[in-house]
Amino acid sequence: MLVNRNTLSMHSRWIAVFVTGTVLTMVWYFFYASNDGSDRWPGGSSPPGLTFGIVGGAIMLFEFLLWPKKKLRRFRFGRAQVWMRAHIWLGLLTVPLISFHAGVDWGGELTWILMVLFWFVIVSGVLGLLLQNVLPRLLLSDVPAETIYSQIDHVSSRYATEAENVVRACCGHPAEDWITTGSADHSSATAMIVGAERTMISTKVDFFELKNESQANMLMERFESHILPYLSNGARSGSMLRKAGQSGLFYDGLRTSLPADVHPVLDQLEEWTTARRQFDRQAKIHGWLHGWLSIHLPLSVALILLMFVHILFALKYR
Amino acid sequence: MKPLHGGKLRARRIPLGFNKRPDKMVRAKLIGAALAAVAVVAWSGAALFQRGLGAKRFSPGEVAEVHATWDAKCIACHEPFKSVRDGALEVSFAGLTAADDNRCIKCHNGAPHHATEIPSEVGSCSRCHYDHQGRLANISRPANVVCTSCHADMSRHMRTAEGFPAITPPLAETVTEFESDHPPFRSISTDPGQVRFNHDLHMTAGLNVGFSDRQLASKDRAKYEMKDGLVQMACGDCHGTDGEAQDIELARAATARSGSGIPARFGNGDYMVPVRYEDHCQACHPLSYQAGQPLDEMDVVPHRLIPSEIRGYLASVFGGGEEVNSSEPSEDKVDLMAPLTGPLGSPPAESEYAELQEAISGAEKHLRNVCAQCHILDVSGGGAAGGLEPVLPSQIPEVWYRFARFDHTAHRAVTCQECHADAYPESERTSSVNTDVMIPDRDICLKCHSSEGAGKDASGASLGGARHDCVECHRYHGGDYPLHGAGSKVRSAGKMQRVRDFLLGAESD
Repeated sequence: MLVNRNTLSMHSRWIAVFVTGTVLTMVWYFFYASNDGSDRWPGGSSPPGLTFGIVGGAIMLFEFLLWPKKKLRRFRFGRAQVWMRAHIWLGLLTVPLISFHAGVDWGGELTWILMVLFWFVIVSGVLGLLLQNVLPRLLLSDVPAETIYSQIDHVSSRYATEAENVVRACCGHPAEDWITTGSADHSSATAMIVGAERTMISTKVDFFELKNESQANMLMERFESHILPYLSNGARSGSMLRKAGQSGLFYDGLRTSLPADVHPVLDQLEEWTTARRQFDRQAKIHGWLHGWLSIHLPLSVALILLMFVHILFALKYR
Repeated sequence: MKPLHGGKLRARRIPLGFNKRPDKMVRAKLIGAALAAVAVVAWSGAALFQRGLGAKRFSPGEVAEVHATWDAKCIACHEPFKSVRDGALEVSFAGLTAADDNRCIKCHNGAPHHATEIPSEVGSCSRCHYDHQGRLANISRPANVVCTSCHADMSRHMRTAEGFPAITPPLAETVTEFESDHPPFRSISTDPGQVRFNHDLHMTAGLNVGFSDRQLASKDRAKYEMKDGLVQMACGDCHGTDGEAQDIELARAATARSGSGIPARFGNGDYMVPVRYEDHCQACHPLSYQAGQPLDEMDVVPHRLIPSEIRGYLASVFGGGEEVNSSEPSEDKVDLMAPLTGPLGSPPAESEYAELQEAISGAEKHLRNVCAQCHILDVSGGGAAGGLEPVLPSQIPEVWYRFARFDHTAHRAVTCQECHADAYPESERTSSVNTDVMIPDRDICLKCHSSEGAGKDASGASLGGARHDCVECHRYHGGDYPLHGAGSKVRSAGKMQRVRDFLLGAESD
């Protein structure tokens, strides 16, 4: 959910709710505290404290419902954007509500755990909001070859297969499903690569079969030791190709060593390598973009469950 | 070369139904959520079924030290699903009933504040005493507002059989803070004491008469400090707290004499023990009945005898009975309750009787002056049969602040002069008669017991900072008997229990 100058108007109502709610909460709480005359802050059993607890708990429950709402999106319980805006601003409103409900105190073991969980959920949520405002732009600028995160390994393996086919054909050992068109002497031809599982990939590579055995061996050796591992496993391979500068030097070296006719093949390999490097970057950004939810959601589950335990004991022994 | 990153091209590399299986990020969320749920259930379950300290985990905070035994026994104090506070929100607005105070009263039978309080205004125990504030919290120290909810507007919160009485001085209609509108201390308006005592004289070196150690019996010379060869008395020569009472019998006798109702808490040093003639006066004021006797061999009569007893004692001495020649008379040597024996048992001859009468009369005449030096003689009856008039009771208050408590020990690091300046000859208003009240009033207390920086001394230096809330001096419970301590009957437990029941709380009911 973007919160910036352009989208501020969409958030304005919710910001008003948050600000008004916070001000009203503070006014009532501090007014009550100053008239209460006690040397301690009013806690959960005081009129404002109990009210804040009920309202704050209800909001927390609503916040939590975002998860089932996403899971059950086919039922269309309101617009997702409205849910998200409410999630953000009402979630922030729970900070004054719950803090004052607790009497600005940590209490006993259960309430201490609740407060720690609450703050972790809030901080992780705010962090997530910040990341969602920054990282997508980074993804657009840095990863033009972006694919679906879960399919990175799959797409990379396809690149690796296609690259292997091209290199083998170039070195005189084409795969069985290798289709060539053009002149029959193989001095120059265009290959159509069969790679994807469900259909033929339309990528076409102009290739030149290397006659010089030592050059073919060198290309094959470089491919198997550097390019293939990197295309298959990305940064996990530890290959020098994971760094753009070293990758450029690597391919420049190959171009120097191999005849110009093979350069389109090298260009293609370099492009796949670049794409694989972008996938690595995408995986890293995706990790940051969605990783916070791996903290936010489990802690929210724990918070909601413990909130009910707290309510039960607060009602029983009040 | 065609671009690799065309949308269609990339899409064709993705198998259909890729979204049927969650990626590792989604799996991490689901696994984390499941683990969190399991952890919460395990933690709560373990706490619920953990014997002993399990319930403590759900407590909103540790109870005070005095209740630590019941920290994990919620129902010792709580009645399930009933608020312990009658002022709680749901009780006030939702009409739910609050628990009664029975579980508190089992151990603390908090006495009523005053007979004139309005019962409907008296809240439950926990309205003033909040627990779960941590081990070190003092739950018997409620905030001022608890007191000022009535004392800020007394006439509406005090009721007698005749209705709402008018509040007249020394009671104050409005008291909100000690440092702002607390009235002067009403219990020190006059000194009811009937013992002649001149503080100015006694605190002057040589007592203004050149009194030196040579005028003391040899055993008493080490008792007093000397200044330029003259006796220089100090406060501690006569005044000491009950913390110095080394002799339990002595302390008990002092309490019995006082009739103040102060509980027998010897050793705390809260209060000054009454001045005792034998300890504090006799060295300079021996009750000799003959002039001109050497100090170390002086014949004296015991203190606290009524005229007829003195006459009997003198008859015993002059009539040849048991010789009493000691400057250390003690009650052990004179059984005041036993019938007089000796010479009175066998009547003397007439000449001897006249001689005896003359000796007794002479001694009584001498004693009359000795007694009158400190005591006021009661001449209303025309004198006792034996010639000596009785003395008026001393009536020196043993406790001055009758509506508040005071702890001398808590003030031990401050010189006596700071609060009792008029007892010193340096004071412009030094006291020379016993009717002067030298007990400090509120303005002296305010030097320390006020907001930090609010108190000022004579030079204008900022003082203050010591506690000055209501309960610093006043007790709420048993307000009609403000000197009753925690051990008084009105504060005893509502229910005597066996140790097991006491420790298990309501679980054993």
